[in-house]
This record gives sequence, C-alpha cells and structure tokens, in this order.
Amino acid sequence: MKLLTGNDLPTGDVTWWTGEGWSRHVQEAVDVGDQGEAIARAEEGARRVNAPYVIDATLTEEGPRPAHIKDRVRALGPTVRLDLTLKPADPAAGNWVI
Amino acid sequence: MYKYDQYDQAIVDARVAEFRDQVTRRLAGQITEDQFKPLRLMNGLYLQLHAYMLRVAVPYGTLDGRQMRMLGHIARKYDRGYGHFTTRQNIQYNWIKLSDAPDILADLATVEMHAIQTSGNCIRNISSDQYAGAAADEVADPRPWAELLRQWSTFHPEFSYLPRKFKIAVIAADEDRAAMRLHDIGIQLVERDGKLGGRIFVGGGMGRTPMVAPEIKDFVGAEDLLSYVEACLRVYNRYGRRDNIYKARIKILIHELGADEYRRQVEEEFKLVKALGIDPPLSRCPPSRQAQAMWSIAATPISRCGSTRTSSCTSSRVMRSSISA
Repeated sequence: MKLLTGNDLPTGDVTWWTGEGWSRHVQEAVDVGDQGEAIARAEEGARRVNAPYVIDATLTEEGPRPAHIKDRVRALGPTVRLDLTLKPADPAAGNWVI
Repeated sequence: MYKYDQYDQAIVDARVAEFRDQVTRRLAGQITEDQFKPLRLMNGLYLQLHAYMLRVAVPYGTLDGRQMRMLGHIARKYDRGYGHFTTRQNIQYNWIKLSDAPDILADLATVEMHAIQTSGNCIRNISSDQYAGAAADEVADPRPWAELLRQWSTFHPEFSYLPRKFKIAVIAADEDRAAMRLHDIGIQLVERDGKLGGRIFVGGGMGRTPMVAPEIKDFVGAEDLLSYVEACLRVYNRYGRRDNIYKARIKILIHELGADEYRRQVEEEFKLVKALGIDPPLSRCPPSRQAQAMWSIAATPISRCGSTRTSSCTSSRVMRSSISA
C-alpha cells in the first residue's frame, strides 16, 4: 500500500492522509494508490500540509506500517525520548519501530 | 563580554521584523515552501524529522546569566522544556512551531542573541575553546578575535552563497580543545618573537568524509589575519564545487588541489585582499598577554562608524568587548 505523509505547516507535526484530512496517527492513514501525488499537490496548495511525499507501507493487524524505519520513527516520535512520542505511557512502544 | 551596540541591535531587530513578515506571508499562502525555505534557513529554522528545529547561535560559546535564563524561558514557553547544546556551541530547539518562531527571535533579540547564519551555505557561528579567556595555556584571549570574525562574517555579501556551509574556530593554546583542525578554517593564535599572530589550518571536517585540516600558513601576523582568512574564503568561493553537495566543502577542494597549490592561490589572493584595508589597525588589535604594552585603549567613537563592515568600526567594537571581558 501507499501512504501520503508530510508535516503540518504551522506546527511541523508529522501528519498522515486519512482520505478526508490529516491525522497525527499513522493507524488512521489510508492507501492512496496512485493518487498520492495529486492529493499532495492539492493539499500543499491549500496549505493543509507541508513537504508531503508518498511512501510504501504494509497493512498489519495494528494498521499501516511504513516500510522504511525513518517513517516508522516519524510515526511514533523520538525513540530516544519515549515520553515525547505519541505513546508516552507505553514503555514498549519503541519495539514497533524496529 | 561583548555587548551589542546600536548597530548590532538595529540589525537583529530588523531581521526579526523581516522574518515575522515572511512567516505571516507563508502561513497566508502568499509564498510557497520553495520560496520560504531559503528564508527560514537564513534564520536557523529547519524542518526536521519530527518538527521544526531552531538553531540559536551562542557566539564562541559565551553566555551570560541573562541569556541563559532566556534560553530556559524559550525551552519552557515554546518548546518541551529542553534544548540541545551542540558540539559547536549553539543551542537547538526541536519542537518549535512555525507561528512561534518570530516571537522566539524577538525574545532572543532582547538579550542580544539571534539565529542568523546558523544555517545555510554561509559562515556559521565562530566557535572557540570552552575555556577561552580563562585557560592558563593561552597566549591571548581568543574571544575578541572570534568576535572580530563574527562581525566580519555577519551578512558578508561575498560569502552569503558559498558552495557549502563554512565553519571557523579560533583557539589560543597548543591543546586543541575546540577540535579546531576539524573545522573549515582553524586558527591557533600563537606568539612569535613577541608578536601575536595565527597558525592557519584549512580544510578540516567531519561527516561522511572526515579530514584533519592541513596547515596552510605557519604564521600570519595579527595585522593580516582577517585579510588572510578572507583570501582563504575567496579561493574556496571561486573554485569550490557547487555541482555535488557531497563534494562541496572546502576539505574536498584542498584534497583535490593539494595543500601547496591551495596555499599558492591564497597567497596570490591575499595580496589583493590586503589592499582593501579590512584589517583592524594593529594598535587596536586584541593583545596577547605578553604584549599588553601594545594595547591602546583609545576607542574609535561609535558615532564615526558608518557601517559594520568598516575596519575602524569593527576594531573599536571588538576592543570594547575585550575591555569588558
């Protein structure tokens, strides 16, 4: 599957295209198929996302899993500071990245 | 410690206002990211893996309590309660909101700090020995020389679009506590026959192609130091590669040319640069500890300084920093 990701323009937060808008949670991302580039252009033009790009991912029981570790780190947050990630209460959250 | 004069403050305040306008236009969609990116990078604002990152310059690693408290205030108010001091004596905030960036720069300006030239292909913050001015093994205080280089390099029109970023370190001891030879230019202040000058190392670096800088000149007198550094930059600016980011640093140029050929070109260029008169008058050069008698404390009145680029203005400002250090 293909995911569309980027950063929120005002905050810089990592965001994922949900089919209707942008979410900070990769689990809510949807397969954009071959429409990623077109969506990216439209959304960037509307300033709803900054620096968007399409990535490869696989669909798992937990939801979409980016193929590249860089994007898994982006999806979770800094692995050196789990308290600053999207799952600060989960001490095993970093395992998902590996 | 160096204190801003009216020109420093005016320059920094103007830059804050300019960047506030640029951010406003970006958020309003009046400029694209492609147009905005070089503008934010000129103000130290990156878009990194998780968020925007702002790098703030700490000139040659010198901070006073008021400035340190402001850095803490920024970490608490605009970030997540912390900042990251870098190996080159800057501080980075990793969770900055774009809309907050102008307010942060305005707060920094109130304590004589900024993020100018902490990014981009220009001369970055000048770094020095962490014990600068306090170490017993120094022949002189390197901070006034670092300040001189800071003022010379700030908004230098010729060196704002170098092939790649450019880092300079100044030390004044035999023990290299600033990793000076891993910089694009490393200057070791030395004394020879009672005269202050510098050993010049060019072409060091880290990253994917780490290199220890070769010595390009074993002694440049204090009266020629700024001109010699300018000559080093000019040769790089002319012949450094701009077609390949991985081969654009000066270390690659010197490796390819050879230190001898680079030195020859710098010496030729130096003759031209010297005629421009950018060096401060020797009587106002920051002194070595063994040459205090050379030191003149007759400051050039600030009102006579028409530009931050003139040697008389630069030298007088540096001298005041040395006096109050």
